[in-house]
Amino acid sequence: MVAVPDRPAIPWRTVDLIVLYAANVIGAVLLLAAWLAASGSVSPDGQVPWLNLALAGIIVAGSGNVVWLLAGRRRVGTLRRSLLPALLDAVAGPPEQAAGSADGSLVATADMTRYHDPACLLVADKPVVPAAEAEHRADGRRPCDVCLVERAGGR
Amino acid sequence: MDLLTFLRYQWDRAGAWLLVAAGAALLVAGWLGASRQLVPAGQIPYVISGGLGGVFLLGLAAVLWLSADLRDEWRQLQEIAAKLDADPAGERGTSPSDIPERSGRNGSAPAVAEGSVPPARP
Repeated sequence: MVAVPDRPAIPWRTVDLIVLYAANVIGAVLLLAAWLAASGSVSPDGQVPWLNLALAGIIVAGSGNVVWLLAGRRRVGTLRRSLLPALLDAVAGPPEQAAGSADGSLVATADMTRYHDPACLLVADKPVVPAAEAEHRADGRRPCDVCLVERAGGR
Repeated sequence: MDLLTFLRYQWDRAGAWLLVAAGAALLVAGWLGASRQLVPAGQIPYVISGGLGGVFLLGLAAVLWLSADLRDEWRQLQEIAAKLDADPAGERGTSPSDIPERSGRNGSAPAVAEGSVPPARP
């Protein structure tokens, strides 16, 4: 189960929004001030500092934009990573029961002295009959040393 | 989907296109203005207002568009989280088709499953 806390509707916090607005307002003000000051100057030498100021405004605004986008991207990535394990579990469905469990899927023929997992190569193409492990044991059979090695004692 | 509904859901992308148009117009206007000036002192104000102003607007447009993409992805992840919470693993097998499709890039409003996170945008 994935806990779903109350997440905001957008992947940004208020402080990110403030930084974005502040950076763009400062950038726009610098740009406007530089344009007004440069328009009032008649020599290129006097306009160069204002051109630099305008460039500084662009850099300030651009930095705020980058911070905004990176913050959103980071939070989306964090949420995606937190959902991934649960999503994989959900797509895979409930885990299958282990092979050879006591659900009647262990097999043997009437003449065998050992019972096997249905996928065991030793019973391939043989007329086996599935039964519960207790039934096999009651008939005197032991677990296969190949496919049921844990039950057979780990040899 | 009528235009108003589209603009309500996709205001950020519509705003991005508007800013792209305004930025491009400003760049062209700055170029035209500067090209008609004979002295550099008359051209620099056009460089600042038209050139850098256009770049500023184009940057804002990019931020709006990319923010819209991030917001869509955020909302779809929330829908997935809500689905997983309502129907956790082990109680049923979730097929990939149950996962909300990614949408919004083609200009359509994102698909929202019933009972999931609403598509409201701030």
